[in-house]
Amino acid sequence: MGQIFSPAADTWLHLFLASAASLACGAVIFAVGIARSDWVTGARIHPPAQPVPFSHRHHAGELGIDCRYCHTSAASAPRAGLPPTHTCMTCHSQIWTGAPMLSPVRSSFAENKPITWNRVAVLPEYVYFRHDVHIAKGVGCVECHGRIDTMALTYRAKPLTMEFCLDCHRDPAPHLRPQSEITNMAWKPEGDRAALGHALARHYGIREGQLEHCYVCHR
Amino acid sequence: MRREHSSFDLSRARAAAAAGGKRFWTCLEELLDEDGFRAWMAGEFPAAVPLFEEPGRRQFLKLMGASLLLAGLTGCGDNRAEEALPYVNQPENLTPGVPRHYATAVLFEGYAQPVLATTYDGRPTKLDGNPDHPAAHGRSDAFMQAAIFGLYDPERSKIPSRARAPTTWEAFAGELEKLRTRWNERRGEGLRLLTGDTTSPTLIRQIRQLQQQLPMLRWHRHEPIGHANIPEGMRLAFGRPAMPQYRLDLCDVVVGIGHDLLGPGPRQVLHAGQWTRRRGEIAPGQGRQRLHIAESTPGLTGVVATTRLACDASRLPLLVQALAASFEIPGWPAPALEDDERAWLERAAGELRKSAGKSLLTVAPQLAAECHAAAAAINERLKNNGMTVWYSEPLHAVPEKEETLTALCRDMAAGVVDTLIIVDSNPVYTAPAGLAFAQGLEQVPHRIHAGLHFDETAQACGWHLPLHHALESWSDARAADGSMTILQPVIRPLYASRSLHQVFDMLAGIHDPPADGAVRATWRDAFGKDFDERWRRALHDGFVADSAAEPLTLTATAAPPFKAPEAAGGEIDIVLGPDPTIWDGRFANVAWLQELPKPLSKATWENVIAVSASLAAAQGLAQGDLAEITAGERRVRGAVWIMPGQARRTASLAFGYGRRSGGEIAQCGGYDAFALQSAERQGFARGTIRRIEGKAVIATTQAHHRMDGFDFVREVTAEDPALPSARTAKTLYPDWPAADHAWGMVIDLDRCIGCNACVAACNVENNVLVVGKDEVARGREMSWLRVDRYYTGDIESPRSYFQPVPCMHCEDAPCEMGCPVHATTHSPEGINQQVYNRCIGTRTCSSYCPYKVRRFNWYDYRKRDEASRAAKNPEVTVRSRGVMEKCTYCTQRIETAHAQADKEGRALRRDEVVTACQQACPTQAIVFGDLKDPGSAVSAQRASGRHYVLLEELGTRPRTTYLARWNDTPGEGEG
Repeated sequence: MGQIFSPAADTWLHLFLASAASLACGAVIFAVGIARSDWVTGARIHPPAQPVPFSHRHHAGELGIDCRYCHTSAASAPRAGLPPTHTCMTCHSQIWTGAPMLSPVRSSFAENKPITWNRVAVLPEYVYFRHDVHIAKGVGCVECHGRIDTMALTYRAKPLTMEFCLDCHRDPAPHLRPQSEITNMAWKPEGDRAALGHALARHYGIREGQLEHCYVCHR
Repeated sequence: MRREHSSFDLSRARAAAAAGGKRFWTCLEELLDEDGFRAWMAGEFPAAVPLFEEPGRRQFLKLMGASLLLAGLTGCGDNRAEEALPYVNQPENLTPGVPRHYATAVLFEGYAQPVLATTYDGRPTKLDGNPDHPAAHGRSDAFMQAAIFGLYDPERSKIPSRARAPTTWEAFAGELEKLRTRWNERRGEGLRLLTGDTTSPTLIRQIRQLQQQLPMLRWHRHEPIGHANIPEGMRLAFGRPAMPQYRLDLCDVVVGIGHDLLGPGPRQVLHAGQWTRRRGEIAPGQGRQRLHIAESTPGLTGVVATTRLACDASRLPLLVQALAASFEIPGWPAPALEDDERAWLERAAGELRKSAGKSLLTVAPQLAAECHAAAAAINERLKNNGMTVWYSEPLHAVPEKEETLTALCRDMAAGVVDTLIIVDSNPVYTAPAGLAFAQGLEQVPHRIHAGLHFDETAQACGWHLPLHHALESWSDARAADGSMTILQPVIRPLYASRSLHQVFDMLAGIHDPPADGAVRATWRDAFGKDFDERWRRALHDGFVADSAAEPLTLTATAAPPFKAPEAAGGEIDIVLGPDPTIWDGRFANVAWLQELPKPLSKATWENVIAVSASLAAAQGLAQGDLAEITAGERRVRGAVWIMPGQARRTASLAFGYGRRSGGEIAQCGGYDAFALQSAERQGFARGTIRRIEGKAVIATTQAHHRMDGFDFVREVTAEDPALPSARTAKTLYPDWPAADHAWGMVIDLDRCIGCNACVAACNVENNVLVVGKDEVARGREMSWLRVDRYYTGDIESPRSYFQPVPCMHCEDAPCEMGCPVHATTHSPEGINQQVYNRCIGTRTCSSYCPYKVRRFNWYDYRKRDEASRAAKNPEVTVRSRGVMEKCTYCTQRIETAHAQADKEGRALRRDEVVTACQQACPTQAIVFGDLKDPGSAVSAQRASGRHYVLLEELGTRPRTTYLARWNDTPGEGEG
């Protein structure tokens, strides 16, 4: 009876096992990587098409209009609120009144039909995020929305994944700032950041250790 | 449970009930066959067992394959693209996503049920009792809670129709022009109006004005349940119509003859509030109110009564007669009573006398007017008038003799009615069969119907006009205590409907009447100079200040001589009463009310014929058998329910089912009890019952979600007022990290009247979905909070108990240990959390849960009820297929309170968080709060001697605990 296995069989077997194992590991790494990639989270890429090419860089950055001039309920309600057409027209009934770019705004105002924006910072339906309490506790706009004041077209700057939220909920101190700097996109703390963060956390009475359970955001 | 047909075995049931001593049982199956029941119950979802009777290898593989495929599919779909539409002009004081609250009312039998409506972005999602209103104090009942679904009912009538063809309001206005000319010529002769009872000052004014224009116009009233005999009885007693108003909170002794004071109806919240204020923590023998109830059908008041007599309906008037005789009311001879009746009556009469001035006698609304007169006279002798009972003007417009439905039917048959306008009433279905209303209606040349649904009456009328729901309309009405409430719309009308005041304005010749014109006109007169300010105030508060009914100074001297009629014809008494969840059928198209278990039978989606155990045994009937009830020439067929505590020779039937029109849900099944109603006597008939072929599956929830153990319900007595204090179970698990708060709930079984308000409130608050009758029969109902009902003692006169069971939020929760994917977790504040988007639906948690409070979404129940999407609470996720869900202690309310406190930089206030069930409970039986705060209400309750833990021996350390019920039964509890 001849040999069943050739001399190379053992090598083949080892090669096969090794490649199967590395393929499995690779698949897991790939899947996790994909899930966290910008392609899936939508961060930093492809600003969604908008009916009006609104520039935050121009309005918030160059003109220096405060965030809350348009997003009026950010500090008082769960939703920051998109400005009603009326808000746009407070200025644009005076300036750039004939700009073709702004014709959807004018027709919205004339026909009493809302402008249909595409949302940029969308959270899943089972996430109950509140703007008001984050602002009250000293989390600046820039923490989640990034440097809006530099965006010609608005895109999602941060991944807004559960991990992203939890990082801060587990250790909020490094992300806190004084109330005066909430909307300041360019604020850089002076001195010891860690010490300032802890001082602010104490000042705001942040319930550290009680902000990580599921029902804080999901219900 | 499958069984061969065999009739009910009374002696065995008796023996079984007696054998166990003080044993609690929930249903006959359990009582008769404990081993079989136990085995059946052992399955996690017992009713699902027959689906997989032979789970062979092939079936297993098929199911596994299908599950895998479907599981893969759930991952598909991209919901990232989302649009946002801001306002063009944002209204002032409106922030998208922030709820606003409006004080208004919904209507029930013409009475206002004062509510505080929560609206999100112009969309009402939740109603609660108006906390400032003197009649509601923020409490509610199931009907009030479910009114929101009535608003969004997709089968509401949407446009006017003529001869079933769609038309317009303008077309109706044109027709009205012609009709009005004729009415004016004939000064209204032959013109008749038919409405339900109404307390609305505006409606009454409009009709009176119409009557001035058209003097021969007659206004008839028809309230299918109503309380027509009460003002009539007061007329006999005082020479003028009046309404008795009770002060249950001032009573030491209450004797009710057939009167379900705490039962469903427009006065439930008022009465339950008064009763609970008195019930308090007071132990028997230390001034606890004693409640003696005689009733033919078990009601909610009987469950909490000190003594309860099951007494046939035809003998209730005899009890009144005997009581009147014992108080020497002239013309009321003492009747012959049976031994148990005499014993009950002597005790009741003795206690009434002993507590004269602090006692109260009430009789059932359906008893003859003379009985009400006698009750007034007896209360007068006891000097209760002005103390525990006082009399007010009737709150509703009381019809004269010529203004009843009977008079209308007589005139219709005689052919003298030319035009009949029926507003917000459905007499073709609800009129007593004896009046032959439908046949009479055919004699009327011009028939106009205005209502919310295209119901039986709409079908029989030429014109049908859609009416606004109360939440869409401007109106006014009086609450149960008489205080005036102005109804304001909380949403724009959904359909091309108009308010009933607009319809009456049109009848008076006004073209295109404004929505609020008539109501404003009424109150402009009433408020005078300060109109603007007082109008604004009244809308803001939800009631007109100081408008409650005023006491009349009346003295009842005598009642007209009376002798209870002999029970003649037939073999048994037949009682016809409102259904506890859909009333007379007006709420029949609300799926949630259909699925709400009836408090005592726990049946859903249909009405049953309740009979006593001995009647069932005598007639060879078993649970679920079909039976035919015959009264004279009239008969109905329905499923039999053997009701413990039912009077021996009385069958009880409920109205509201057997609908022939009015919506898909309304026509779901059951029998039409109005078919047995005679013209002469409301709610009562004599007849026979016999078994017919067939058996029905009654979708009852009473045996679902059963716990395995003992001592679920506990009692304490005056001699032995304290239970052993809760043991601290030893545990191997480490303690949870502590937070600032520890949420807990205590439910007082002594106060629970099983009214379902908590269940209804929970359903609306937490977007709990309706599953339908078939699914309920399989044990798949979704309500997070169930009210268990237990009996102990003899099957014919048991003592009954209610026990609401929400999630226990155990500190050592078996479900948390069981979940393979960690979808159920523990919060630092002690809440047992269910994470829907992590749950993969293994149902391990549910089988581990000893309290059986977890509910599984077997199907995507959302799809079955697309219409009520608008009613969903946006603060709570609507669950999809394949996930487990359960009570969260209203975590959205906790987190909102936290956010509010955090924003304001303060700690949570004491008892700031209120759960939906707690808020609704009319008897304040549910208390929720922070166990870490020694001053909180829940901590105080936990310190009570009556405090106990459900299934304590399991060591789960629940956060939800109970207070035992007082046993004050004479001879058992106290002497």
